[in-house]
Amino acid sequence: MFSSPHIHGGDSIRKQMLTVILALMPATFMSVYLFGWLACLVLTCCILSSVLSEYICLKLMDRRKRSLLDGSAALTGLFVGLVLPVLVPWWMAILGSALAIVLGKQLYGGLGYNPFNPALTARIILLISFPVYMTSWAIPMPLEQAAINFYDFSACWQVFFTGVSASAFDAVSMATPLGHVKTALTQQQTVSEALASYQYQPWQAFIGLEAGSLGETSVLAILLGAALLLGRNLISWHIPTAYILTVALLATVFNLIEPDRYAPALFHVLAGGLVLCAFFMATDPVTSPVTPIGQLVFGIGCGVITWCIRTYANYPEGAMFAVVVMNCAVPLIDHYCRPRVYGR
Amino acid sequence: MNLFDRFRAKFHGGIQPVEWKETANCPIQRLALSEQYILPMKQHIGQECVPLVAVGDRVLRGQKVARSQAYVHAPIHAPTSGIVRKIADNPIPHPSGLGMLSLFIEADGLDEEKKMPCLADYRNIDPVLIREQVRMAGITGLGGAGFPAFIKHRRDDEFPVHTVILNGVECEPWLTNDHRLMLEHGQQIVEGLDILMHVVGAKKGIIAIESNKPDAALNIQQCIADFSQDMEVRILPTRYPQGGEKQLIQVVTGKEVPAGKLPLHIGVLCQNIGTVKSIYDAVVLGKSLTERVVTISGPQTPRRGNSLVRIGTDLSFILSQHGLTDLSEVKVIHGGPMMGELLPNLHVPAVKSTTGLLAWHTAEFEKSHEQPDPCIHCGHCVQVCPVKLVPNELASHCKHDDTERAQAYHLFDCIECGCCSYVCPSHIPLVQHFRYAKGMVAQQAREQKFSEESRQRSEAHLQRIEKEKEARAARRAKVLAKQKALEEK
Ligand code: SF4
Ligand code: SF4
Repeated sequence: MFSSPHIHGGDSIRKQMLTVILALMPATFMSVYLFGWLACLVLTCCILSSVLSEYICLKLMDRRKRSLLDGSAALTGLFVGLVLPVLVPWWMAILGSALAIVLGKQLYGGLGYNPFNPALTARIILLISFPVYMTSWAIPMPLEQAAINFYDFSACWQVFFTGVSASAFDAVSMATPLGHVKTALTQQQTVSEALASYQYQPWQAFIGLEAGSLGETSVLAILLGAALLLGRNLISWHIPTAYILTVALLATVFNLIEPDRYAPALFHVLAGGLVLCAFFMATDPVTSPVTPIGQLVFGIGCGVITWCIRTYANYPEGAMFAVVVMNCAVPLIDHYCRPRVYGR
Repeated sequence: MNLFDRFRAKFHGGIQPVEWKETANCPIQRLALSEQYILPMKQHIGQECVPLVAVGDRVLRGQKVARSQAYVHAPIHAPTSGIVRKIADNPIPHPSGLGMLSLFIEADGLDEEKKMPCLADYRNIDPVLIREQVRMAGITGLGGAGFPAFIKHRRDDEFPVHTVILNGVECEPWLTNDHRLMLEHGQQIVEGLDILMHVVGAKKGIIAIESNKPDAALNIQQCIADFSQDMEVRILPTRYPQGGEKQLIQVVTGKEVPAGKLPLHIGVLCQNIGTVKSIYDAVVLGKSLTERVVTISGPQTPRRGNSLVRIGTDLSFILSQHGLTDLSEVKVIHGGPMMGELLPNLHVPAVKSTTGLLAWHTAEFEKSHEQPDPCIHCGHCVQVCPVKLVPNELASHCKHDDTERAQAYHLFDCIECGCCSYVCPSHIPLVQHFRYAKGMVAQQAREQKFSEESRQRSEAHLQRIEKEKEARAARRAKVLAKQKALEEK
């Protein structure tokens, strides 16, 4: 028996997924600009592997095949690709996506049931298993020092399948701003010395002309996509705002107290995967709270953890850990942050 | 309203569905008389009525044919003159398809009417009498809920009503019956409002109309201008479910009705346009509630329009009068598309709460009820819920039959407006889960009451047996003692 309402707004999972893919296009194009054919190869490989893993899982577990067409697998693949460094070998791209789909999503019951963000889960597993690959950042093409010609297809093909020899890593790679500052601080340099030796320019970081994962470098491109998500009401402002402001606030306070040891807010916000995580990862509907207050709490939690890991832990970047840690708390947050019901 | 009030006086969430108010320009037309009318004994919230007439009796239009002894009920009147042919169970317009005791009246075509006294000079009449007249006229809320109207009109010195709000919002898509009433019977509606203000002693009357009905607002404004200083038309931005009583009160007054309380407790009386028109008819013209305006529309209806329909008219007759005779491939909704109910059977009578009949082609109708996908926690349902519930969590508790947790998540505050289901990208029938769980709680309560009663009964029974035993033992002891005494002597 059909129950009311008898009309529907026309939204669907498929539409949502396709919109998010569209919103990721600026960041994707930016990664292609920075890393040329190699970026294309990594992303394609990730997407294919993810769709294939999804297909196999659905087949094995006898779940409805319809969900193969909803675009969520392709989106997960794209996400995985965008958080990987460009120098990963082909098998890691494939493995990463497969991990995201199988371990991150299907084992929990498929779309809607996974507690952790699949792409970030995969990335963390890869980071722990293959730290060398996951922390080698190629020099992007537009920079003068670039050692690999990413715009040359055959060169990229070779790098992708045969890899860069361990000895050559130093020549083709550079540190990310976060990594550089972290190392410099352990060598008793001050923050400003570290930034100067890196020739750090905030506008460069904003546009994305720096080392980093494929899709995380350009704040500008991410913001363009985020505008689409916000405009289409696929994410609400609560999580990204709370997240970024928390990091900025912590950074400002500590930077005022001890400027030599703590990097300033602008640096933190523009660096690493913060903005990508804030707009695209932390807002992943399945693994984030549904209530507005809950979303604020979630964002603040992410912000605090991100800043703490960046500042005190061994890893230079903490955004993805922060999001996954906060993912655990989502059911709790949703339970305690329900809005005040009308008239109560 | 200044800007600040406007900001405060908004209800949370809501949606803007496509309006489809195609019948807004169709004047109300009187439906032809049918040959038979069927009156279910309960068309209101409250106690079921019992027939006052017997098979074979002749009744007149407006004659009271059924009533109840209970306080919360609305008497039922014959819609036309004729003979009572049968008193038997008959299905009612409800998705369950269940039946109810009904009166079958065969029309004699004379349509003779019996009226109550006219209280045209109502301003000089005791409010208690007017309220009694409204009660006798069998008027219920015609917006769909069907709560007996007179109950709201009580004067309570502890909670004096200061504002009467007329609900001309009509936020359901497709429906236009209130819209037409405001256009064609503005004067009566304004006078009806005046009656209500007199009955409850309110100082202020507000007629709330959504911005998609500017012609109605203009008409009412003109009617008010020659009539009263204490009334005002409030034009509201179009948004569903603004016509929900609690939402409308929030929008108009900026106040929320506290949970478990009535609008009366914050000094407000809210009444639907159609209801006020019938109150006018009852008080000034002495007419009982025997007809109402129904919007007949939907893609599958050839001649869409607004009809003045006698209560008790067969729905298939109404549809055929609008050109829809082949009912094999149609689905008809009773009410609006957001809150209305799908009818399993079209040979049922129109009742007091029949606001609209919307016909869809079966295939097209089923398209809007897609197979659900899993919840992806997108939170859209939370964003649109006017009551600020968390529908996705609530639904999962309901689905797992966890009624306790569901009630802790305020299941019973849900007004079943359907906004959550409307926006859900996974097409989850959230409202269906809520209805199911509410039904289950009611069922559990009934069962508990029943077992409690039988426990008490059996306890009382045991006690009685025990007492009798004791009494017997005492009697025997007495007899024995007597015998002993005799023997000793
Ligand atoms: S709108 Fe539907 S999918 Fe989104 S949270 Fe609510 S129930 Fe889940
Ligand atoms: S049907 Fe209930 S839960 Fe859904 S939006 Fe309306 S009030 Fe909220």
